[in-house]
Amino acid sequence: MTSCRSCSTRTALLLALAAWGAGCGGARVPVATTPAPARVAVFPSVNVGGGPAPAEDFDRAVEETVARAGLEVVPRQALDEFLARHRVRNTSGVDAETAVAAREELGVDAIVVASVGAYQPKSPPRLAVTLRLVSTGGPPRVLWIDGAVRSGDERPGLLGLGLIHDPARVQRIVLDRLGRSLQAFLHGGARASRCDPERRFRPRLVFRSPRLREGPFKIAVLPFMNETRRRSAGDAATLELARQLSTSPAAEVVEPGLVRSVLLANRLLMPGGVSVDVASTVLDKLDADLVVAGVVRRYEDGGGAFGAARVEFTVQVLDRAHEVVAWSSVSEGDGADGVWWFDLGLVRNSADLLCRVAASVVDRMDLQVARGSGGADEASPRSRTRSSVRRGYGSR
Amino acid sequence: MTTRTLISTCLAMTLLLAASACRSSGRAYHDANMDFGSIRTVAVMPFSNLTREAAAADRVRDVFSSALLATGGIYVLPPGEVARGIARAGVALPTSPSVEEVVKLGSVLKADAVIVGVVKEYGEVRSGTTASNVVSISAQMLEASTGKVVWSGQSTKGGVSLGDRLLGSGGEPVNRITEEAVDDLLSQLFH
Repeated sequence: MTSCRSCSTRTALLLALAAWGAGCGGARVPVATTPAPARVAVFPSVNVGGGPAPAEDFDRAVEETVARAGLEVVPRQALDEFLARHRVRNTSGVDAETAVAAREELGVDAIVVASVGAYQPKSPPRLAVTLRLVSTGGPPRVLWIDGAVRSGDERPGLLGLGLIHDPARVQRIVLDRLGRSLQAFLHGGARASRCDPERRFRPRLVFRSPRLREGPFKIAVLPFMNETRRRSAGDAATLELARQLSTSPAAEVVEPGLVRSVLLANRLLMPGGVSVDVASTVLDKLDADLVVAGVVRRYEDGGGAFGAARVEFTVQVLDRAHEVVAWSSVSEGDGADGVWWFDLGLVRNSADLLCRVAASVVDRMDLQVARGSGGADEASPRSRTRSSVRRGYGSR
Repeated sequence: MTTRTLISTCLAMTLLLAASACRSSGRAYHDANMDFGSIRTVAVMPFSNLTREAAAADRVRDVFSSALLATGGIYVLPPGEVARGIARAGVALPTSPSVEEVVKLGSVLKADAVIVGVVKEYGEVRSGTTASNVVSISAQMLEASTGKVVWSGQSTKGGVSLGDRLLGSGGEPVNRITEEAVDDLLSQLFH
């Protein structure tokens, strides 16, 4: 009797430990509903940093990272011939025709798109990379997206012993982190994690409609308008918002290449910002629920106090169901905000700051899945009187 | 000079210096015959920029639109929609539309009112060896059906305060001051 009692106690304890272990280690929710890809093509990287771009060695390093994660990579020569044959000049995204052709001619299940958000080989070296896996054959879908940023002076440590002067080492750190994330997705379907949202970077002015509680949503992120002097700041912000939104279980982000092709095919221009007409067209063509647009007003390294980075952008989300604004925010991030003690918490890299500010916006958006997944409600258009009002102020 | 006189003089000078900081709320105008409760949708036009900072008007307009939307009392049309309306209505000068243009815009955008604004100061102001940020905005609301001005307000925030003079602190960031000025304008609108 005693032995049976101790057995059942031990079993109960083991079960409890197993249940606790399953809940621990981060709330990573498996998201893959399609089988993991086996063979991929790695498109040449795109520079959205506005500065110098890494050399071909970087593309080869990305291919090695993808191969180490367990995927078969199409040889570079075959890919170059494919790109030349189909006159694919823009490798920042995948449109429907390219996806179908890649599946048929290269036999790939997915395409890896690499974007370089920051690159500085001089000391202190800096690198910011975003990788995403886009399915082929049929409307291309973003299966996985993640990014990593590292500066040589990010963690100087005691007496500067943690400083990194070698750009190759910074590159290795960034690509290793992305490789691990990709591996976690391929083996367990785990969604990539978001940049840590911080209170000091929360949007200062916010309008949030209760509609954002009625997910899940299919979201199209339109190219952000760039009002900075830095080239491609708009593209960097678009990609970062798309990445942060994709970490939400209530959101499926439309492949940016598909959004771009819809805008081009329908000759849609957005002078002064996105209008309801443009939003409706994009949402209809992509069968999406929400469209995200915005303006980047500041995106600079070292423009703030103590050489801190500065980022400023606005975000608006238009809702297809009601044709109204579902979200509007103004975000301003200064890497020196809340820094009081020996540069602790100082953010010098603009790509890093953009990630944190965008994560804070998405965190505040708080997209939720409707209970029972009833889908879009039947409320009358412009039901703004029911909208929740929140005025967000910074941490100071 | 007795001690008492000295103290009084110092106190008076301190009060004078404190009052010299540029912070003011202008007097607002509300049309007494206007039913402001009927205004549900507004279009915020591009603001006029009288400052040296090229992006000042756009920044202030962004903050104003977001703050107005965040009050929950009024729906603010997206700026892209306003731009489309301006093009369709053929408004010659978006920062200062005429009465006919306002009426036309109202029907194109289905807006109840149109808001125009002017950014008079934005950025650094110097006083002697001290510098600080200042923002000065004025705005008007025009009823879309008639083109009449039904509300007008102005606000100036920031400037060189006593603390800035004594401690050389440099004042608050310009974005923070912009929000204060916009808050003040909205207080004038809703009160």
